[in-house]
Amino acid sequence: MTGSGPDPLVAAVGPDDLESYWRAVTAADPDAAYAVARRLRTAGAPLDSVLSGLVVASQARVGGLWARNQWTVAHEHAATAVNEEVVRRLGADQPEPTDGPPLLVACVEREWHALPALVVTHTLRSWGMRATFLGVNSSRDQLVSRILDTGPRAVLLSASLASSLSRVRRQVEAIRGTGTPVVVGGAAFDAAGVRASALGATAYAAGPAEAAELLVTIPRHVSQAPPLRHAEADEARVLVASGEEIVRAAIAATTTALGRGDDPSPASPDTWWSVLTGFAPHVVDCVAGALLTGDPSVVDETRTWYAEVLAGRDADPRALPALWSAFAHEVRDIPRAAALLARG
Amino acid sequence: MTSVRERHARLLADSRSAEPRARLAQAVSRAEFLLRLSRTVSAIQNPERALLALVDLLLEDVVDVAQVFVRTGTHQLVCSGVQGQTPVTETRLLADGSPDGVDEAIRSGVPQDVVLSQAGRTRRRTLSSLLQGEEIVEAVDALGTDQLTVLPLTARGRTFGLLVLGRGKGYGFSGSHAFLGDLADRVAVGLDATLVVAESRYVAGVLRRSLAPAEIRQVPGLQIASFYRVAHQSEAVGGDFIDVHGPDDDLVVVCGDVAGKGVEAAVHAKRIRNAIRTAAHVDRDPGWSLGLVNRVLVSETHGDAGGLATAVLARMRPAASMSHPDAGPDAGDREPPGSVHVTLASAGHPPALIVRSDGTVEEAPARGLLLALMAETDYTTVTTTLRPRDTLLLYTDGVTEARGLDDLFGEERLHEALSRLGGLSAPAVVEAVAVAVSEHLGDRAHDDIAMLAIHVLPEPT
Repeated sequence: MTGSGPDPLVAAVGPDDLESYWRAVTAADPDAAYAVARRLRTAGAPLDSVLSGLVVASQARVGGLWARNQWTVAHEHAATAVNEEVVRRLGADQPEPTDGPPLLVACVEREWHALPALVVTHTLRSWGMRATFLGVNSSRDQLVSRILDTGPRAVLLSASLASSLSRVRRQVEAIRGTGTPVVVGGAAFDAAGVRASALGATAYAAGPAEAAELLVTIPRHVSQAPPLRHAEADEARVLVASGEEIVRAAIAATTTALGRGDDPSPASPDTWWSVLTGFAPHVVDCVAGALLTGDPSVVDETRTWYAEVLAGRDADPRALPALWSAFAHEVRDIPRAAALLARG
Repeated sequence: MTSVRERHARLLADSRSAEPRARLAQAVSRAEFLLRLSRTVSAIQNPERALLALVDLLLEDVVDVAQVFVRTGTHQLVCSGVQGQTPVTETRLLADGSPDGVDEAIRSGVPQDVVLSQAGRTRRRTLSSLLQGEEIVEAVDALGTDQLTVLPLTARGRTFGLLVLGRGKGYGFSGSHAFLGDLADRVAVGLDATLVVAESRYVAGVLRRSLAPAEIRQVPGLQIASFYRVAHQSEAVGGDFIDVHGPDDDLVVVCGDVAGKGVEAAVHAKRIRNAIRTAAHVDRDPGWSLGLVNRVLVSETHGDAGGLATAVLARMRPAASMSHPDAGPDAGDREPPGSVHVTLASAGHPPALIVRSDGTVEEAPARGLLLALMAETDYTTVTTTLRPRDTLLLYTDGVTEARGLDDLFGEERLHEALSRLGGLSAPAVVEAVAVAVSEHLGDRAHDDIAMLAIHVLPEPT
């Protein structure tokens, strides 16, 4: 073979590669999955296309299979672990970037989905940027400590769940308090960046490429995040502070409404009742997020998602409406929150 | 948006002979700028970024050239900015030297204006004695700057840096010296605080790295995952400890907890971790190791309650490598290939849990007194066998004592969570428990939390 550079025929991620990779993910076999990715890298495929073509694509399938109840939580966990390990191993194969200012990548507090932030970190590193991943569930103290020690150009904050928006706000406040710009991204945000800007983020990036572009243009130093003083923000604070009581009361009311007795046996995480009750705390947090961002679609999207996941598990069709009206009842003294729940 | 030139004029125009209203307006602008400057410089407690922010702000609102020197320990930070270009910070060893004029100004601590000749070698020589780096000297030369003002940065009676400022051709600093003196004072106080924070963070960082739990290594045939969260997160060290040491086929895994929190607890935890390592070098039996460590601690702490600690030790060896005097011909059925023999001993620590691949959760019934309580105590060992896809979980009471809305997380919730995790990988087990504990805690404060999970991988087929 003559010529240099990657062969366009092998360098792209093809459907066959994705299928071999998918078989390894399904079989929870990280070595086999890595081998598929490694082969593409050796053939000249850039890291970002391997990550998006194999890892991100297969993780979307994993999420869909869980949502439709075709996979158990255990199966989903095992497959996700394979994807994470492949990203880490491909990342470790890369040379250490040495140029440019440091960047910190973090997952918002109480989020445990490392994969999106890992993909962003290693994609940026493959472009020579000195990005460091701080891990899942980054507390404000940890973030601020790392900012003081490394003086990053910016913090890239990942949030996958709309229920994280109120915690994103707290983290934005902490990061901007150090004068550091904060670029947010992830499925918790809308593509137009409305939620991001309402929360005081410096910018929203849809993906690593957009983040890299933004890093050229965003200010090097930002001021403190101005406090959110609107009435919705006050309600959001009340809601978050009493969230646990509200969730407990709403689940109890739903249990009664559906005529379910106390079920003492440990539930499998895959039953519709486990899903209904397990995700109930997210409803309160989503309402708080909608109040903070002024975007009611946060609540609507959550309800749509909930309905799909429950339908996939043959849930009692009365369950979700019952939970929703229980929540509306529990927050009746918080008028804007109640109005958001009454929309459905 | 006003132009750079207008913004600079607003702060630096000589208003001494202007009408009172214009002078008042300038005084207000200057006060507002100084407030913004103080806020910016003191909010950013990272020296490199604080210098960048300072130079950015100076170029935006005051001058066309700014170079700031700051000396800390054996290093000097220099940030250089010229209008229209991105400022650059570099860190140099003090020993590498600085321009003569800079050394002299920092030594004397006296502000001065330096008039530059219009062109020629004298101009270049003057610039090179006050500015560091060819690029900025070139840029200032090209700008036609007439005059540089040199402002020492002095805080707590010590001059630790220097600010060198210049404007474009035809603009000077007359009528602005009081303002620039104020500016230098504010910058000095802000940067001094930032440097103090950075120096103590550096010291704390070195200590933290030496106290933090050792990096958990990977061992063939096993999958090891850990979780570590401290109560005082800004200190980033705590009294819980985890460790894995010894040869791959005769491993000792450790999880422990010393009384107290924060740095003091971390120092004590490190000593116990090292003592256990040393003891295990002599005899790998966990009961013997704990006994020896206990005797040492008792003799050192003299019954001081602050020295109390708990720990659980597990020694793990491939079942295939051990002789079974009582094993019959069917031993192979009970212990499939890849099984691991575990010997455990505990000193007052929450029981180690074994999560079988089918989700059955077993407690290892090892019992023993807290470490450092009394000298004459024995630590008996118990044994068990981990088959492929089983997981051993060691944890500290930060897990079970995580405070929820109205009760602690507790052993029952822990067992229930683990019963759903049979056969899952070590990271999945650790993460699932961490998520459950975190959800139970909500935003409430917590104690140090540590977990160490060892999962036996199936033999490759």
